[in-house]
Amino acid sequence: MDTRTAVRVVSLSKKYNKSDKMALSNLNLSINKGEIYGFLGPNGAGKSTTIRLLMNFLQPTKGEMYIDDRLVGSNSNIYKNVGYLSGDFVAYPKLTGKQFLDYMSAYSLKENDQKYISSLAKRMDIDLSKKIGSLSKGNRQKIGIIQAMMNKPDVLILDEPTSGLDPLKQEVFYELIAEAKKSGAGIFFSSHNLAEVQKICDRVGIIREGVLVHESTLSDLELGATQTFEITFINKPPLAQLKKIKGVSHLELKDKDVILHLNGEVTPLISELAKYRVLKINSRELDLENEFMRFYEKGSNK
Amino acid sequence: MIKIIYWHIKQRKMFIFWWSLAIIGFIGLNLAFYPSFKDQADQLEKAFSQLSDTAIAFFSDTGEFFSPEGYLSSQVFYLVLPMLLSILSITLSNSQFAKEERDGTLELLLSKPISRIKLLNVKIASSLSILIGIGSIATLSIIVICKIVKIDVPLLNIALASLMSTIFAITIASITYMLNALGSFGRAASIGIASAVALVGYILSSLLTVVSWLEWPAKALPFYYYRPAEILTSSYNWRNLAYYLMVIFSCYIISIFAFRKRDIG
Repeated sequence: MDTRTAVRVVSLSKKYNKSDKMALSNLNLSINKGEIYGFLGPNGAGKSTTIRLLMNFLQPTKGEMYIDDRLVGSNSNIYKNVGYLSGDFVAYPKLTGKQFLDYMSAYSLKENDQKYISSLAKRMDIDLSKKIGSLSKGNRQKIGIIQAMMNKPDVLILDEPTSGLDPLKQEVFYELIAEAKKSGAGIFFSSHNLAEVQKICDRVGIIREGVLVHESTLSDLELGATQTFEITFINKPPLAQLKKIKGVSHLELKDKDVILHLNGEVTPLISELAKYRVLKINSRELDLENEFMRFYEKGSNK
Repeated sequence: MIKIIYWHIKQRKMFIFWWSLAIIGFIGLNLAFYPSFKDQADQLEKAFSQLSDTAIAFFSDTGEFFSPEGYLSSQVFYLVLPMLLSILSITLSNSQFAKEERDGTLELLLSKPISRIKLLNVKIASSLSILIGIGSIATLSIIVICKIVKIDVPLLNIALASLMSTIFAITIASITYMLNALGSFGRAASIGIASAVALVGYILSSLLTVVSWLEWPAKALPFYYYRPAEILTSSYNWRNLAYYLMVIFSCYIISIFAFRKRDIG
């Protein structure tokens, strides 16, 4: 097993020259090889700033970053095994997809594996003989995905990579990401689309106003997430007893129906309900959207 | 690196083609009428001498318009060629650098294993290759047209005057690159400043014959040291070349240091 970290960020801060505010404050994070890390946050939270710092497009005000355990800024060769894609992918409009990928290979110090590129193009359903300028945003993004993945990188740094892709191609992209993970790549994936993070990431970090406000595995996040139960009792609901259950945060009574919000394990609730005659239990599907919003509401209430 | 430079040049083949065609056209158009003037050179020279010194100074660095050297200098080397090559150099430097930074493709290139210094060198080398290429095409076309219309100036002097026009344009390109590498000016400002350096230098140097105190500000600008008529008449002080080399070298060093550690975009 590869024990190296794919990406490591230590006390990273960034303040832009023309701004009084910190765009990023004391960020610490680490992404392992074979792991997909989802970096969540709304526009302007600091996701792209973090990625642009990692790619050495921006200079940090403070802190250090490592890719493949090598210090960012020390040597450009660290990007030899890095695939990068931004959400607003731009390329040279006068070049065809194939010409563009050949041009990129001149910079990559690697010969293109044409067979692999053709297979990627086929899976993404894109014609590489067309000029990039004539392609739609979604199709341009597909070219971007191919350029990021064509060298089978060990580290993928992706800034909202599915923007513009139709749902079918998003699925293909998730498959490609899963394959990269399986072959041991570490993937840093920024998004504001919670559903896709829920779908593919092992771990999530939530960033707000340049500060990492939460970091956990997806299963921990799910464990901490609020679940909603609708319970119909045959007799009068035992409200006082239900209130005492560990993790119950909200109780609502409608005749013999109770709507209950629960954080954490459901075992105490089931044990308590076993004491009563219960007609029906409905559990609403776990939604991380609420969790995600919780971190933001905390911020806006400050 | 050679492969990347080749790619850059290949990407701009139509740009190179149209610029070469335009320069050949301009040169051809300016020199083609020499045979018509040659026989009446003395009379025309007398008529032109009636013009004010200022007017003469703006079009000729010899004060002559119809001697072979005077004609060649006033019609091609004093204004047309250096200005065309300067426009080319500013356009080229901006499209290679500032435009790529604005469009976001510079970031794409820097996401590959290439250092900023190497990327800057690649951009400079490809601009230089294109400028030298088009400069050489201009030189060849001047020599051929001079032969055809029988402008009797030594070929070596024509080649050296063309070379100096190209060096002047390279100097303007290096200033443009430096402004782009510094990054705080923006594309429009770098075009404006580089154009002003070329144009104000031309205006100040031309006015020197009538306003002597302009000598000091003129001396700071590249055009002052560009004296094609002296090259055509073999009287040029080649130590002036040191000024250009110094400016080009200084701009290059500043570009490297400025671009090495600045924010992109």
